[in-house]
Amino acid sequence: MTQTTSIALAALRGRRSRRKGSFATPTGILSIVVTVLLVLLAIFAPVLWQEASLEQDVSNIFAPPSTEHWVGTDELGRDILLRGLVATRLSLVLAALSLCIAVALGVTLGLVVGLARGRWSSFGGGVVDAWLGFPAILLALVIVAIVGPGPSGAFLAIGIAFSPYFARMTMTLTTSVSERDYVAAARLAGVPRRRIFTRYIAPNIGDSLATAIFAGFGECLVAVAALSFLGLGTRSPETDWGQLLTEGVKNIYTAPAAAAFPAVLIALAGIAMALLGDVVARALNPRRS
Amino acid sequence: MTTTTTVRARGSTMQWARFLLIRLVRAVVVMVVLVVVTFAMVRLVPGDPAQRILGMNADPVALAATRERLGLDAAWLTQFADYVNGVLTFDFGTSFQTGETVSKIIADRVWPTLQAALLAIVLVAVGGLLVGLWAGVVTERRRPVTEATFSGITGVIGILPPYLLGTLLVWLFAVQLQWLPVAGSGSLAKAILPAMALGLAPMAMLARVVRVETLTVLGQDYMRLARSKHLPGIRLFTDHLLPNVLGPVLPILGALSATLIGGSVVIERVFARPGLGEELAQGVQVGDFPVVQGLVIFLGGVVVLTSFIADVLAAIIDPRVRRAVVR
Repeated sequence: MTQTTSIALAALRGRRSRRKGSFATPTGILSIVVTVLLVLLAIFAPVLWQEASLEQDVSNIFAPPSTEHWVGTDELGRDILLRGLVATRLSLVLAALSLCIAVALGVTLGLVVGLARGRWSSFGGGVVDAWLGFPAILLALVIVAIVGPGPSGAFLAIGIAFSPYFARMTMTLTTSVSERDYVAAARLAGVPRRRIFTRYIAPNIGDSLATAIFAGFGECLVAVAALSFLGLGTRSPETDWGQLLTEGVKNIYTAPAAAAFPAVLIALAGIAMALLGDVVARALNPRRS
Repeated sequence: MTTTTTVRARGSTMQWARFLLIRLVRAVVVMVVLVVVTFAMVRLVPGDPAQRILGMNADPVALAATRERLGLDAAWLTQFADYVNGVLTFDFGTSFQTGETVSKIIADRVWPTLQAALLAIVLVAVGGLLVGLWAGVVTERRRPVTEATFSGITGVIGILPPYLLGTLLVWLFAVQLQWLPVAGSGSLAKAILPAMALGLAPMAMLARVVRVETLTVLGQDYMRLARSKHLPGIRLFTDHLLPNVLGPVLPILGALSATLIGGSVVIERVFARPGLGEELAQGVQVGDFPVVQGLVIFLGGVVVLTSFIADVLAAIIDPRVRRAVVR
């Protein structure tokens, strides 16, 4: 593993001159700025505004946006802006946990099938393809039904439901890399299988996988929020964006901003992560751009 | 000459038979897995599924009765045989919440889901094609600004999941502009916003694909020839452009059923539509296992069936699809 890392680092160092400025596109800068902001919010928002976000002001419920409450207040007179910012942490943490499960399961499965040869490989490919054609949310709901509604059920469900995407990707990459001439040459030269993997295959599928992982973070975030929106994820007093969206949609006529704000936050995070995936892809693989 | 033709015809029949068989086996296997998974679901619940339904302080007699209704008291194999028998006769038991049979719930609630989905399919197919063709024709001569605007807008819409689009659409059209009704089901007007929420993202993706295809087709020699012959614009469009652009549209429409069913689960909450997705979400929330089993099998079956039909259609139109599968 250290060898892989050092190879990756060496490759990065060697490419640096060519890669110069690849982060410096407008979308690149924008997505990095948004991502950094979100991470900072996730770390500091609950520390700074936890108390204030729970402060109820019964005389001032469903207030429209004003200078005091930028996005208005909810049914208990709580400030929606602060609630949304505080909820960043749980939203990102749940997305990250589900992404970890999806990547761990998917990449393992993809490697096992991708490195296998012949009949087993095509069988595994068929299974993953059939799985991919099935709506992920149905599988996620079955898992939630087993584990029970709640944050842990939600991230587990999304993690498992999204794993075939990573499995398919890893499988395709592994198969295409192991068919290259240099892998065949190494195999003929008697390089042990483990070394072929760490020395030749892993470094060459790494950059594409990294791209998929960044893009997958946004998808996981949106999907976990969807479960929370359905009342199957986070529950009060803990809040994430999906749950705020439910509360907002319930009162969309009285306080439309309360629904629009969490929706915008989820969309913003999802889009920023997807763009970041593109940026990372270009940075890791300059040939592609 | 005749022999080669018959040989080719027979070869193609064989190819068709193998193609259909492979696709059919795959569909059946997915359904079998679905039945096994939904059966195992209740058994995999940590602790007592009856307790999940009735709560912590439930009466032991009621718990035993619930266990019996879930079929958890019999031997494992008998349970499975009963379950499969139920699935084959479309009998999934009765809901714990309402006492209605699950098949009646499906029959009652299928229309709001189907209505929005059908409208969404029309939106994706017609809208995606028209917008893509238009964008392709417009950007044929280099127009960087139009091109960037098009790919920016379609890119953002394509990423947004249905429930966020739905919320934003409600906010825009129902709350701010007050053009369209939001909640409930019934009239066609109430299905417009849900259909847009479901269909706009796939439509945007389709429009992107169609634009690229249009540009490719417009650059072909036969197009240049047709233009140099001063073929009328409409014939140029119907005879040359449209048939060649349609190819990549079908696979996208085939994958659409999964997208639409997945989306409708969440979208129906946004619009308070009493459809199958909303029923499923509620069933999962309270642990109404017969409802969850019945709906997952039904919705999964719809996805399997539609993707099978789409595969066959794609193979009829484009023989390369068929050959790729058989090989």
